[in-house]
Amino acid sequence: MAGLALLPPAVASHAADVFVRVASPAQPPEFSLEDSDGTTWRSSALRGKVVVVNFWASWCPPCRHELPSLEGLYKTVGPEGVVVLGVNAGETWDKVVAFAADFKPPLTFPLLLDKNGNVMRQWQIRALPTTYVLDRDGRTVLRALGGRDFSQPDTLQDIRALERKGT
Amino acid sequence: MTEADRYGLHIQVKPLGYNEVVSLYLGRGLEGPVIERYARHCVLRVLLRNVDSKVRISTAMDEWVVRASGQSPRQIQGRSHWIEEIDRSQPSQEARMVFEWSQLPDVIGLDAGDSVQGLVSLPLQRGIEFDLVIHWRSGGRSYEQSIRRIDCS
Repeated sequence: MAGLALLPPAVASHAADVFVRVASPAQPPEFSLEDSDGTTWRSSALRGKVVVVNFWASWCPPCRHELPSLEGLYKTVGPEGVVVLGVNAGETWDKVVAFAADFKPPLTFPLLLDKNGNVMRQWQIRALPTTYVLDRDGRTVLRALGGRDFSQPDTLQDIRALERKGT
Repeated sequence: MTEADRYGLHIQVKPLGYNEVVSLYLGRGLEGPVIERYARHCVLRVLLRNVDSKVRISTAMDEWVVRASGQSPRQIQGRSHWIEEIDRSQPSQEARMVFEWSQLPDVIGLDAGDSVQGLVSLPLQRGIEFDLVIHWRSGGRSYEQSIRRIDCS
């Protein structure tokens, strides 16, 4: 859907941090979603880990723009035990898999399908893309609304600070 | 495209042509009378970004005003209104989600660095030049910015 290549991707271009600290961290509603391999991901099973959850769609230009940097983040912190999940907004597996394979390098972090948008509604997602970072207690502690460059140094600093907590 | 920066809010606005709007949703299961009705109005692509590093910016569609010469000021029918319209055509789940999430949200809160972009359909037929007045709040104060002489042909 090239026509939805609306305005230039809205990547933060000023000195603000990539993530905003959530004022009142809380555990969001549990989710249970499948990835493209048929593996079920339950948020409750991820307690004890730092989790990055990115809500996206293939027709969303700032989503498309930021996903390569999210892949880069995954390659850096994934081996450290950080979980990175991409939750797609209601498309089909054919579209999601083809879309992910189109990137160079392809996206390799788990892509989950929120087929009916239930998780997005329960998490009160207002727009795409939205990214949350959950601490080891499963609480949303960091948030980004709109496209981001996850290769910015403060991204790693924020995530590694969460990794150090509770270890 | 029109851009404005004022009191920490960066605004970009671009009118879309009728065929542009219709083609956005073709192939996604959204076509027919309801999308044609949507596209016959003036449809804008809007980007809002908080470029102030200190305060949260809040705005709501029902606070924005459209002013066209010779016409009384009008409020905008936001995402919720159009989703109700779309639902009457019983779209597929995927089509509905594409439409819903491509619209600018009715209520927007932007922290430092946050941005949101989407479509807004205005209560105006095409071919009319108008001003769009965007209201928002930050740091306990209210602000407004007029995007003047938008031509939605």
